[in-house]
Amino acid sequence: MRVVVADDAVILREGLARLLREAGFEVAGLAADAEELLELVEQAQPDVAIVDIRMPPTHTDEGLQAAKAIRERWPGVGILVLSQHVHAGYAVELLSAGTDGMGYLLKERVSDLDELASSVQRVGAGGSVLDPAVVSQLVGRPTTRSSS
Amino acid sequence: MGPALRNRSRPWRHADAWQLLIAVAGLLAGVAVAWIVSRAGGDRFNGSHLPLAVPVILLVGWSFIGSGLLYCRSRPDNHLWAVLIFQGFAWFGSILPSSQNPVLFTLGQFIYPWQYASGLYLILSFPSGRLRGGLDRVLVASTIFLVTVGSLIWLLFADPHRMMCPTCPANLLEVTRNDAVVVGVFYVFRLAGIVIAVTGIGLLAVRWRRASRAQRHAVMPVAVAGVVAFCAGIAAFAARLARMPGPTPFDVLAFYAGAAVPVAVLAVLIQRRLAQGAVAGLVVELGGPEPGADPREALSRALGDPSLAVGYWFAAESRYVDRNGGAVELPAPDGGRRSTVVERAGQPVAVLIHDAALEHNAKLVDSVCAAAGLALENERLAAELRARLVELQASRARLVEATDAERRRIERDLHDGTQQRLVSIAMSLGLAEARLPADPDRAKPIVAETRTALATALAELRDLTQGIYPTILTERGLSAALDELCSRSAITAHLRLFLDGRLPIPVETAAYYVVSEALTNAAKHAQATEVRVAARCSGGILTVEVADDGVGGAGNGKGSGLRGLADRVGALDGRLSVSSPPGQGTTLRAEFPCG
Repeated sequence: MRVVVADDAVILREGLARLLREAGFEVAGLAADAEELLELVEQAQPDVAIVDIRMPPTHTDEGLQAAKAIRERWPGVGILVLSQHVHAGYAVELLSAGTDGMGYLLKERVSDLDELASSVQRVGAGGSVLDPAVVSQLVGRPTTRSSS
Repeated sequence: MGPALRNRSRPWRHADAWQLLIAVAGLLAGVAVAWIVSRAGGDRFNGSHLPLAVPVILLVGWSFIGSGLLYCRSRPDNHLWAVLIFQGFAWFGSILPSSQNPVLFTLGQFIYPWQYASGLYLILSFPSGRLRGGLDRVLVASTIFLVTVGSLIWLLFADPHRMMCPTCPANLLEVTRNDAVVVGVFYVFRLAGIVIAVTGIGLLAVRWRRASRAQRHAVMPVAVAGVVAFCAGIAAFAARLARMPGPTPFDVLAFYAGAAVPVAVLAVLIQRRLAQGAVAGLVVELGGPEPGADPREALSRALGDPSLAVGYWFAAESRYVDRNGGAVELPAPDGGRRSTVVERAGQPVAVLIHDAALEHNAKLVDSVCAAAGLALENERLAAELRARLVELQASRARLVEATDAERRRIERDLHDGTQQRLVSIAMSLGLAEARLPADPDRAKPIVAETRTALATALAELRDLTQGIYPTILTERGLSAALDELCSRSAITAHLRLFLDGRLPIPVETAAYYVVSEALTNAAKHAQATEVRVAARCSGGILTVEVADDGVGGAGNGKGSGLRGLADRVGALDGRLSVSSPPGQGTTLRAEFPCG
């Protein structure tokens, strides 16, 4: 399975690539920001793009926007968004564009090679992945917003 | 009491003597001219009857000389007084051709046109006494040229006896009779006179359009009289050019119109005296029962300047603030605004920012300043309080902002540094774990690599926590913290400490940051090679001083670093001062109460 990785921190980008190769994936390219990622996806046409949510230039939700753009232009590419924080709102926003081939995972999960591999596999096969921490935050929400 | 008495009985001065001389000469000249005119039968030149000629002649001449003397006493630096006195004597001289005496007649013919030159100068330069533009100067210079050359040619070639009036006395300087030259001069003189008068009206009109309200107020009577005199002069010259038999009615008109100018000058002087009388009203108004009233209103009325602005001295920051504590900018010296500082007991109280036109009425401004001193001092205290409040609110907002910025910085440092290192360590461990069962040898280097990464992460975390708060400060106090700060400094730092035991934690912290920021600035911006750091606590005051030998030129208002320090120091009732003359190093000095 072909994957690409986008993360502005070189140490994580390379580490992730090494892990993915170890788990038997073909790493088709690395990107340092959203713009590079979109070019890379267009060229390499991977099965899955693994995207850090916080990237230059504003370090807020560039990864999220890039994920949406990929979904719009290349619906066949699976997307796994990595985040250092639990933001249920981001996850909901991401999955609202369609749950097929979508995933949202905390960064620290990648230390478990099996879990990383199975998450990438699942997203690549058109399934969806949601981090347990996000799920518990969604379920445990004390109030739900209602629009009146 | 003392100075006022001394002032009144001041010794007789040289200036008083010659002013008296001028006054006596003016009186005598007037009497003499009046005698000549009445002997000539109340006529100016042959045949034309001027009603009230003698009183008008005396009024005009004495008004000019009197205003000149008044001007000289109140504004000796403004040489308009000389022009006024000259104009008065030239006016009396212009009556001399009415005399039957050939000597006086000839002298009068020479003096007579000079009143045009000085009158033009007077109208164009009022009230500053200076000609403002190139065109003004050209106009006055060409008038002087025409007057000189014209009267000389007339004196050399005119034979009035045979040419104009049979009753006129002889021209004593006549060399040879040449009617053609005299008539030519006559035409040129009057034609040029018309051109000059029309240009003069144009100049006054342009100036009027550009003038501020206060400026118009100051020059209006003279400007109006000037335009009237120019118009009458144009009419009189035109009538002569049209060969109307002289003396024409327009000559009579011009004679009376010319009389309006000195009257206008006197009117302006009287207006100023009255304005000074308004100062008495100001004293009553400002001492009145309304403590909340804005003194600006009363001052603006007394000075006749609606655009007046008042700034109050904010001693703590050595600058002026408005009534609400906002900053007040002093006007640039070349603009249309001027500033006058009001002082009490040698200390600035306030600054009046007024129209430049008031410069010509310095006495009024001085009286107003003197009268308003107490009221302005009261208002100053209130304004200072408000300025402190404004400053306090601003510094509070800046402190909140600085706190937020600091939190953002810490979050970024943690996110970009420690968190990522930890994630990468977790990934390495994951990798090692995956390899361990099948091939422990391949897992080994990864574990070693992970340990190195962990050490780096710990070092980064240590730096970060040190940056959040210097732990040595809480553990060992200011002396130890400054010692460590100086030994870590990028440039050589000499430390001198006169501290005994611990000080309140907030004071120690602020002092620490003053030194820390100063050292950073000295190394980063000042290109310094050496820094002297001193901290001394005596008499309940902690003084911290950092002096570098760098390029200087650091401003108090510039740089959020210094601003933040000033806020931190100010929050403890301390004072931060920066002395940074270009090329002479920077000295940062903070003083705190530490008792």
